[in-house]
Amino acid sequence: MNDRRLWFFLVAAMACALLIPAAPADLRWVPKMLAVVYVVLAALVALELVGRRGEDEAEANGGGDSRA
Amino acid sequence: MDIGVLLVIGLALAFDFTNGFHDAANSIATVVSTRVLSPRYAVAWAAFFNFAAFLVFGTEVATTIAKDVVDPARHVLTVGVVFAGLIGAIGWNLLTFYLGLPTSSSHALVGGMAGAAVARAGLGVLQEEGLRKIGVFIVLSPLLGLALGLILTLVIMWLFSRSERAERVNRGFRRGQLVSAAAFSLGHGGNDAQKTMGIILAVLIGSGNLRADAGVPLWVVLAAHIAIGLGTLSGGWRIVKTLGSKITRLQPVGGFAAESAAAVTLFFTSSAGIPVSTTHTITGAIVGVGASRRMSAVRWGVAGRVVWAWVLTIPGAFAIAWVVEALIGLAG
Repeated sequence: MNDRRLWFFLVAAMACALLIPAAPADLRWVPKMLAVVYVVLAALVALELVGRRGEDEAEANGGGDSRA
Repeated sequence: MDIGVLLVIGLALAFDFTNGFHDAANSIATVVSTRVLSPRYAVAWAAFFNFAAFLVFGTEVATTIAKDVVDPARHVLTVGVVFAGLIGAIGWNLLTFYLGLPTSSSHALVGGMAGAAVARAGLGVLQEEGLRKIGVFIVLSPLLGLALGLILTLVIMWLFSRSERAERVNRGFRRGQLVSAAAFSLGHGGNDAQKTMGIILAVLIGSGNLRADAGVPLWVVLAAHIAIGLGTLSGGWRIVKTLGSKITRLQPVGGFAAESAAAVTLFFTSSAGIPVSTTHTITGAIVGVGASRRMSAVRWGVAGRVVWAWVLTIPGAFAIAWVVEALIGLAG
């Protein structure tokens, strides 16, 4: 998991979550919504990384077979 | 209206002019770098929409600056205090310009006003609710711009990924940039000109020229929008001379997404009466567009300096304004 986007989105989600109690009551939905959005973005990046790792492994195995 | 009030109004309008001058590049950089408009027309386009913003937005941000930073019922915002606040903001901007920190004039203005008022009457004059709203959105506005920039880019990529006419799509977004640049300039004019209106409203109330519950007079609205529009026009001419190498090459689709995301953020914050940094908002949106590809496309040095600017601006301007107001108090 060395894609910097994952960590950036998680830190952004945490920052938004920490700001929820500090935000004025009528605008609290903004940090709440942003925290959710950044968690979803982090999850998408994590899925992409897992998928890419799977593809790389399959490619490496396939490459090894063809050489054998 | 006495000479002191006129002097402070003149100083506030000069501050507004420098804001337009300084931020012109934000509005026109993408349309110029993608050759949608020549620099000359791009500058005129941005300046026009900076001015036209008064037809679109109300005066909620101005009211926040005038009444939600320092308690108007305490009658602290005298001509001297507003003058000290403006000097604090301008002094901080000049210092950070010299140091190369991408600070926000808006945050400097809030810090300056607060510092001068505290020097005059103590911490009790500050409006906790208003300052909390401004402080929270210092962090949230770039993050909102970033998320919108990223999501918009992903949606555009998904919609046009199967298009076989890439050149035609690109041409479409070049035209779209005219609209997105106009929208960003509207948002910039709307949010930033209102900060100047807020300062002028505060000094007019503080000097007894207006009642405490008064709204922003039309002549103040027009003067603030003319000042920022002229500033953009002047800043743009400076940029025309030094253009070319200084602006990063952008794809039309990225420019369109970044400007649209920043514009939406500015429209929302202006309607909610929240003064935000237009520079930080567009920076966040550009980072969002870059992050749709990979994080190494993002210039992290710039992003880190923005974070330092968040941390330092309000205390820095506060301190300068506090000292200026204390000196005015000693001299008086």
